[in-house]
Amino acid sequence: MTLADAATATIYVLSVAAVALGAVIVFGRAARRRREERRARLAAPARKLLLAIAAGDDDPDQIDELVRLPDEVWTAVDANAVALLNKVRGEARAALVVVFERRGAAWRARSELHRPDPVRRARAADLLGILGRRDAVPALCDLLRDADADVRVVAARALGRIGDPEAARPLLESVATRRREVPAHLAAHALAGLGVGAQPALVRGMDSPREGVRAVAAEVLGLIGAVGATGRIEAALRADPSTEVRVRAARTLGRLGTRTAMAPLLDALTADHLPVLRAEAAKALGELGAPAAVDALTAVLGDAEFVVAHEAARALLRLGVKGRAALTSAREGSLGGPRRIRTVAAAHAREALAVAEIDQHRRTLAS
Amino acid sequence: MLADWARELLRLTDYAILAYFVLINSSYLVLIGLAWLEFAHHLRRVPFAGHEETYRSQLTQPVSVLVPAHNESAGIVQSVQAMLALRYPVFEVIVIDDGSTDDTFKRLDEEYDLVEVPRVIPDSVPTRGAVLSVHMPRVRPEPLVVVRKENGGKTDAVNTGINVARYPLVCMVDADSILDPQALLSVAKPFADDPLRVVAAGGVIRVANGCTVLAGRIVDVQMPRQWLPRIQVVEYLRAFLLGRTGWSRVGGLLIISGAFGLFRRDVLLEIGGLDHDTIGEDAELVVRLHKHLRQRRRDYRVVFVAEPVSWSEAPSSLRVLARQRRRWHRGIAEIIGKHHGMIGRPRYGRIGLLSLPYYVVFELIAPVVELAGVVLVPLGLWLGAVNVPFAIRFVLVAYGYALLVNLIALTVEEYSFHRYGRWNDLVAAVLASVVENFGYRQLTAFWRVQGLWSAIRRSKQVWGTMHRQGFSTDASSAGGS
Amino acid sequence: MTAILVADDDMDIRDLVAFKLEQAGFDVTAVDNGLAALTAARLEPPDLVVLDVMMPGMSGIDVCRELRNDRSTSGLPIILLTARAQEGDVEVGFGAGADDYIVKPFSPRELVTRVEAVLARQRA
Repeated sequence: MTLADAATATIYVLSVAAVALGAVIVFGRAARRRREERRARLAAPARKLLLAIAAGDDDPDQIDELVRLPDEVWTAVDANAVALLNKVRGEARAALVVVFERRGAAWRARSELHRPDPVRRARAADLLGILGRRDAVPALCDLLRDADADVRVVAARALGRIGDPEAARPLLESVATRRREVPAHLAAHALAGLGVGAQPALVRGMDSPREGVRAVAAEVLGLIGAVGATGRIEAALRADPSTEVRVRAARTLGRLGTRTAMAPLLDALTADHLPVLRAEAAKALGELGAPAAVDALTAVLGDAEFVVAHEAARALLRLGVKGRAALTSAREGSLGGPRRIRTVAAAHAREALAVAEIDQHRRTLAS
Repeated sequence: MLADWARELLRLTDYAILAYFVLINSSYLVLIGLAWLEFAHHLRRVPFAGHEETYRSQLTQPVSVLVPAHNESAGIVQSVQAMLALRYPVFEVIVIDDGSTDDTFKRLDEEYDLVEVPRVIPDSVPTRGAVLSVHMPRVRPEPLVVVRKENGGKTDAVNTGINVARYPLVCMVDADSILDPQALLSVAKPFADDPLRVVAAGGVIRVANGCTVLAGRIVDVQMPRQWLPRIQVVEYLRAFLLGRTGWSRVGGLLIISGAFGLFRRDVLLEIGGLDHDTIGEDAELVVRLHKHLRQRRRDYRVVFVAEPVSWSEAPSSLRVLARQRRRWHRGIAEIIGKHHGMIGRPRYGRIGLLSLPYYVVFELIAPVVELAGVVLVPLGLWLGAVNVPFAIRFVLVAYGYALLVNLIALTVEEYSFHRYGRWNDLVAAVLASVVENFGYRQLTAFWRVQGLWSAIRRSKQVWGTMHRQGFSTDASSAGGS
Repeated sequence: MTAILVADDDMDIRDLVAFKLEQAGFDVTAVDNGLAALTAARLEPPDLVVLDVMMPGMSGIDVCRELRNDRSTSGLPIILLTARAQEGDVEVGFGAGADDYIVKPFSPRELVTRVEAVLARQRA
């Protein structure tokens, strides 16, 4: 075959392909439109029922009707129903959950957790989380080690929604699983959703050999307000080998707000630590709100590290009259020390005080 | 009478050009195929993407949105309003007024009642123009920061913004970009899913012409009425939506548009922010990012997210389009010139072995080949090097194949995002794909060659200057990396 | 009959709120974007407005602010619906002039109670 023939053949192929594509586009669109219309048509009567239930009518007849809807019709409103579950709470939600359960959605989802297709596993996990099925917790914990990253994330999220403290340890460990880990802050968010019941597991997690686990445990103990664990957190701030963990510990101590935290935080402020830790310590001292920290914070107002000086200035705003006074003197340049430090301190102090003034102004207007 | 060897040479050249067209269009097909796989993967997972949770979580990383603005008085207030209304838990919008000579600042001041704040700005990345003042809204609690500075160009404005930014993620947008409300949540998702590795994520740019814009948001998507923007719609679909998704899938995404990109601030600091001396500064940033991270053998990812959308007004006049294409191509040329050391080196992985060589062969010199085809094939015909049937077939294969690629792109768009709902939009898109081959391609090829030429001339100029100065100590690299 | 304007781009929520309020005996107008809400409120001022915060076009906050700035609608009771209620968001909401604030996921029954409470406060 000569080149000319090849070119001719190509032209024919191209033409045919072009026409075929045109047909595919048109067909695809028409089919999609038809599908959507059909769904809307089927869904219309069911939606009304659904809305009534979601509005909090616990009329048993209406619930029965929804339950008895043919599968085809239910599929048309399924997405709406799931969406509504996410949007309402209280009796309305309870009624919707009953509908799902009686339709066997939970049971079906449980079996779908083992399907080969990751998307179906994920969807099932998501639904089980939304329905709040505690009996699915063991299976969901298994999914934390799933091969597909999205499935792991959805499983973690679902466990957070369900809120069973049994999931605490698996969630913690999922952070450090090799190759099949769950991103740390997603696990942390889920753990926070487990509430104070997770505290024992989290405290134990502080002793884990894995840095990632300790970091998440430290963070979540702050989110759930585990004041009883303060001692352990302080120890971590003082002595943990990992900066990540110490930073989280500092943040948590700020959130928990116990006075005993002052000493290790003040210590973490000193110059021989990494700037990120010092900054976090400064911030936490601000949250503690104890004027005893004013001197230490003032000392770092002129620090060469931007984040440290910045957080110190902001923290001083929260330390009452003494803090304000320190900022004002810094702004005037009347702090001791070399010129460069005084200038930097003055600049940060000026910014903090100006921002505070604006905040104050806004608050007065809003009230 | 032309010598036989000359005629033969011409004939071979013409065949070579034909082969080039076959290759380049086939490469587009491959990229489109990859993009298709990526969409199929991605769209099925949208129901459980968890944006609601991300929105409600205290642990979602905050974002600083940087809006460099120069003489944007007409649309700045609406643009800022829309950005402040983005759906994201914690973020700040930093407008950098780069020495505007119109009333850009005044309009913002009127709308938000700005008050000056003595904000301390670290020197994390080098900047040139000094910051004059920083402002916040006096009463409204919106997280808006307006920075006024001396005029220094877009690069300098963005670098200043990076310095002012307080949050770990930095989003670069154009002042006239129109973002979908979910855009930040979507483009931040890769960072949430893979926080240790993802360093940069880019979003799709779509053409806003013809769409209904209400208070800074796109509420109705339609094809533009004029042909020039119409052709660009199809072009953006092919090159930006599909092309970049395809590259992202193989881990070879070379560039992210500065009109919508999210970056980790700490990594930006490591590489010193944007480069002042390159014209395609946003693309150059990502290339340098690749280089820096691969040199240090870090495990990282640069991803393209198909979902979040940023809409831009595409040029509707030839003059503006010409300027844009010249600038873009000059940018590519300068970037490749600056980083040519990465090409072909295994240390730079897919970027060095696949993406950069591809860019050199199929992006950089493509317009040259295209123009050569426009000139040499008729020439060959006239001089008898090739015959009429060949010429006809050449044109049909070269342009017909390109048309096919466009149609495939439209098909993929139809089956995945189908943003263009009306039937006549579809017809307009198909017609635009055809019309593209009758003038648009040739024109853009010409302008791109002009851009290439100006890049070469400029580097010769700089090189020449350096020679004359005898390589002064402050020699910034002209062509080497 | 007391007229209520509901604005939410989410069809499910919009229909749900409209349904519930109608059930409770109110006359409900439902729109799906901020600008339409503003126009409707100006055209025929309702007795109360329920606004979703996140909407295309103008956000609920913007609409709230606009309504407060406009003399003909400045006294309208406004309730904001939002998915987020951290400190800053609540401030923004009340700062824009809202009378009450409901966080999603919400209880439809509670919504009606709040609406009635705000209306009662208004009359007093």
